[in-house]
Amino acid sequence: MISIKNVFKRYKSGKIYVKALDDISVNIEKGEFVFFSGPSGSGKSTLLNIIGCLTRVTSGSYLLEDKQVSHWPDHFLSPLRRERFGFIFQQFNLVSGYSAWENIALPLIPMGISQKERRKKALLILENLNLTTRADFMAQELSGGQQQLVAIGRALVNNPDIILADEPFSNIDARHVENFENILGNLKNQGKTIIIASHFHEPITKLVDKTFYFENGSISPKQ
Amino acid sequence: MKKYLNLLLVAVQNLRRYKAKSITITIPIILMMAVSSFMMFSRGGFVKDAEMAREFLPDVTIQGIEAGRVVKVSLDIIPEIKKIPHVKTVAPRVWGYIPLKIDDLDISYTLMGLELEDLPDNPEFLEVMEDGSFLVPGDRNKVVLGYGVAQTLGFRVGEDIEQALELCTISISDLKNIGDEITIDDTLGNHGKFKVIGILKNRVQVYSADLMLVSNDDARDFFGYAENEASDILLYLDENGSADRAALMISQLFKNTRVMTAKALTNLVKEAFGRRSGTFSAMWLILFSTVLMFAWSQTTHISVDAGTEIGILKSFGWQTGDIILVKMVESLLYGFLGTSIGILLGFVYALMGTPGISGYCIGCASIYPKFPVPVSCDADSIILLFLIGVIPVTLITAIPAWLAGTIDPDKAIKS
Repeated sequence: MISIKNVFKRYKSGKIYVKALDDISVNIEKGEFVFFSGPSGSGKSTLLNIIGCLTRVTSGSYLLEDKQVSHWPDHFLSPLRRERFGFIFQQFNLVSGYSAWENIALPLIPMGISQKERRKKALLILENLNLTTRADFMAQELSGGQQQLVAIGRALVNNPDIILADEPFSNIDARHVENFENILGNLKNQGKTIIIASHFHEPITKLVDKTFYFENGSISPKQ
Repeated sequence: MKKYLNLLLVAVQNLRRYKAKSITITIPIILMMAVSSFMMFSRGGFVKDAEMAREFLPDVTIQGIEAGRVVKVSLDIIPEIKKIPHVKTVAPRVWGYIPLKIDDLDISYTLMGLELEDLPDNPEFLEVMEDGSFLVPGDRNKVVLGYGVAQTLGFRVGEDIEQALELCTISISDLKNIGDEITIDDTLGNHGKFKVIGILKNRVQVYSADLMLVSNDDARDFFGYAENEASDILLYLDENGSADRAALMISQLFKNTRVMTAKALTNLVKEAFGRRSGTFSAMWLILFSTVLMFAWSQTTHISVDAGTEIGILKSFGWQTGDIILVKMVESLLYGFLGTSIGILLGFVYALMGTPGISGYCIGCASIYPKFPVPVSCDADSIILLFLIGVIPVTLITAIPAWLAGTIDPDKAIKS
C-alpha cells in the first residue's frame, strides 16, 4: 500500500542544508500497525509527514497504492490528504477560537457539507469518544486528554483509511494512554492502517505489527 | 457552491470568533477612514460651494492694476467696454473688507456695494433669501446680511435660536430682527449706519457667510470712493457671448486692468480648497500611506500568527485557494466594517463643523471666526472612500495568505 524507496530529505536551515532522511526505504501493507521509534531529530516525524503528503521528498520515490505521489502538485495532494489520511499531531494542533465540535468538523468545511450536518457528524464522533458534554467547549478550555480526544475525532471525521500519529503519548497521562490504546485497537479492527511515531524505544502497545528504529535520518538495523 | 458558502460563513464567523483581533484591526481603519471622510466631505463642500456660487458670479470681473497691485478702477472705461459684442450689462461694484472688534474677537466682514439700477431682473435673487427682502433700486442705508454675519450680530435667523446664541454673546431677549438698525465702526475709522432688510441663505457658505450687501452709493460713502471709481467692474454677457473672448479684448484694450472670468474665479476657489490644495494633498498622501502601511503590518501579523492555523487546515485537505478566499473575505469584512463606521463618524464630525480643526481647514480664508466648514457628501466620494478603505487592505492581506497557503503544511505548522 505504501512504498517508500531510497528517499532522501534535506531541509535548508539558514545557509546550510540539514539531512533529515538518508536513503530510507519502507513498505507498509494495508491494515498494518506500524511503529516508528527513535530519538528526537532522527527523522521519524519527517517520514510521517512525507507519507501524509505534508511535505515532499528531496529525491527517491513514494508510491501510494502504486501511484507516484511524491511530486504531485498541491491541488492534487489536498484532496488526497482529506480523503485518505487522518493526522494526530503531538501538540494536538486544535484551532483556538473554535469549539470541540467545530475543530472536529474542520476537514468537512471544504467538502461543502452544511453546518448542521457537520455538527451532527462531529457530535456522533464525540459520543463515541465519551466527550459529548464538552462539544461546545472552546479548544483552550479542554484538558490535555480531552484535547487529544478531539484531535483523534478530527482525524477520523472523514473516515480515512490511514491514521498518522506523531508522538501521541507525549502530552497525556497514563489513564488517557489506555483510552487511546483502546481507540487504536478499534481502528485496527476496522482495517485502518496506523502509523505512529514516538521517541519511546519500545512499542507502547501490543497492537504493533512492525517497528522501524530511526537514527540520524536512517533506519537502524537494530531491532 | 455549497463549499463556497461554507467558506464565506467561516470568514464571517471568524470576525466574532476572534473578537480581540477584529477590534484591533478594525479600530485603526475606523480612525483613518473617519479622518479621510471628514476631509473629503469638507473638501467636497468647498468645491460645491464654489460651483454653486458661480451661478451668481458675473461672466467677467475687471479690476484696476497699478504697479502690479490691485487698485480702484476708473469708470471712464465703461463706455468702451459696452461696445464689445454680446455685452448685456456693465456694472461697477464698490467693496472692501471691514475689520471689526466684537467681544474681543477680531472679525473681518466684506461690505459689498451693488449697482441696484443695473441688477438683472432675475427671480433667482429671491431664492437666495433666508428672510426679509433683497435690495431694490433707490435703496439707501439698507443692508442685506450674509447668514454668518447675521448670526454673529445676534439676528434671529433660521429656526435654531440656540445655535444663534452660541455664535454671539447676547441673551435671547436681545436677539435682533429684520428691520433693526446696525452701526458699523470698523477699526480703520470707517463709519456707517444701516437698516437690515434681509438675510441671505447659508447654502452658499464660502461666498455669502461674511457678506454685507449695500448699494454702491452707500459703499462709496463708507469707503470714501469718488463718483467715478469702483473696486471692480462686472460684465454680464448675453447667451451668445464668450467670456474668454470678452476678457481677452478687455485686457488688450486696457493694459492697466486685471480681467477674470467666472470660470477662472471658480477654479481659483476649487484649487485653493480642493484636491490640489497643498495641505489637503499632503494629508491625503499621509493618510493613504498610513492605510497601506497598516495593511502591510497586517500581512506580517497574518504570516506569523496564522501560519500554524493555515498548516493545520491544509493538513486536513483545505486547498490554498480555500484559505486565501477565507482570509480575503475576512479582510474585506474588516475593511468594509471599518470604512462604513469611519465614514459615518467622519460625516457626523464634518456636520458638527469639524470642531477643533475648522480654522486649520479653512486657512487664510478664515476672515470670520464662526465660519462654518461646508459639507458635501456624494456617491463619488463614498465610492472613493470605500475603494481606499477596503481594496488596499484586502489585496495586501491576500499576499501573506497566499504565501502561507503555498508552502508545505508541515512548514506552515512549524512557523
